[in-house]
Amino acid sequence: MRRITAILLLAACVVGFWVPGVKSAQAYSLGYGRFNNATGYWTYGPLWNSSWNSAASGGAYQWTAVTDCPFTYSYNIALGNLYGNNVQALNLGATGKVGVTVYSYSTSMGIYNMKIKLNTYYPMATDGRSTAYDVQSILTHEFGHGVPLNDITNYYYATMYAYTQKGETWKRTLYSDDIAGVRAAY
Amino acid sequence: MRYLMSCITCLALCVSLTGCASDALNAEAEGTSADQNQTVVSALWAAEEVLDLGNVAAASSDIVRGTVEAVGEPRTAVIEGGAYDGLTVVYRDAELVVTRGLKGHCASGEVISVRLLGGTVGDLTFVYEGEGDVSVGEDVSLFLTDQPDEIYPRADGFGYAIVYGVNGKFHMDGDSARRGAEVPDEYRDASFDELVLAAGSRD
Repeated sequence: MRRITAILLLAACVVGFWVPGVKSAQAYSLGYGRFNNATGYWTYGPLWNSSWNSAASGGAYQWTAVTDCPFTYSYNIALGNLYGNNVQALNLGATGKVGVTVYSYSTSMGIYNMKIKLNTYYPMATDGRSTAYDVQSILTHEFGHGVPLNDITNYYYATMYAYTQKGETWKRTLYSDDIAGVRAAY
Repeated sequence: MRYLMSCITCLALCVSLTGCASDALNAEAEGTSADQNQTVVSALWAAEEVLDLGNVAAASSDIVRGTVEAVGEPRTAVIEGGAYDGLTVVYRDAELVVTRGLKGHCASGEVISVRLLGGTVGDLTFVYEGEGDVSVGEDVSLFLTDQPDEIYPRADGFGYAIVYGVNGKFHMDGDSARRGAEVPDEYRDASFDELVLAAGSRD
């Protein structure tokens, strides 16, 4: 009887870890590449609205502030420009996307040329009003893509949840799964 | 004692298997070749706009149901001008035989070209998160636009792109329509009649 119990325990573990489609509690999805030295230097691009500076730096800081993880987003004009990493605000049109992140990766350079684009076609605000998309929520999410974490759709309250709506501010700060994601990346 | 040994063996095996799975996942995430270059485009969707069928239909120039006849080889293009100036993208063109046009000018029997972003050419892998991918032989309903986001190259036989990526592509199974797994569960399923209604079908 005990032997059968042990075998069943083993089978349950194997099924839990290996059968496709069986989900664990983890939802985060790691993207491609990493920043060299676990540091992402960034600056503001030529197209930017300086009244959103604190929202942008606040979004980047969420990832830096994760404890037990060496990863850092560091605002640095010279190195941000050198690596081509910047934050922009521009009208991308009715694409359905309020924010877009584009980055490149090579094994020698790590992640570089990271462009975070806030789509000003859509109404943006920093005060959490219900008629506009929240700048820091979007930018925290987009800086998460640079970590790099992919979108997810199974944790509604996660910053890396693939969708947002007007007035939604909880993406400004990280959910436990986002924290687990950056810790797993670095 | 035997029971204890069995349990220890189980735990050791589980730890080992978990480690192997993690390594495999990490290798997949990081790419497997040392000289690979990757460009990744990710986004945050505006839920009100891209999940509502009526809004997706309104953003579409054409809505069709059809069968994917072919998906071409990946090609590269450099975007000139606009927000993605200088970006090298990889794209493929899918050929779709229209079985029913729901909005726009596509007629039954017509073959149309749908441009999809993503793929690998040489040492460049281009990842376009949220694209509505298709496969040969698949029965699909697509919400299309002939004026897409400026990240789509317009030269070399451009016809259409899918509106809002995964949110504008439905896999069809009879009268059932289903969006991809990247869409939240509560918004994935619809009936073909609902798509026709959203389109304000001209047939």
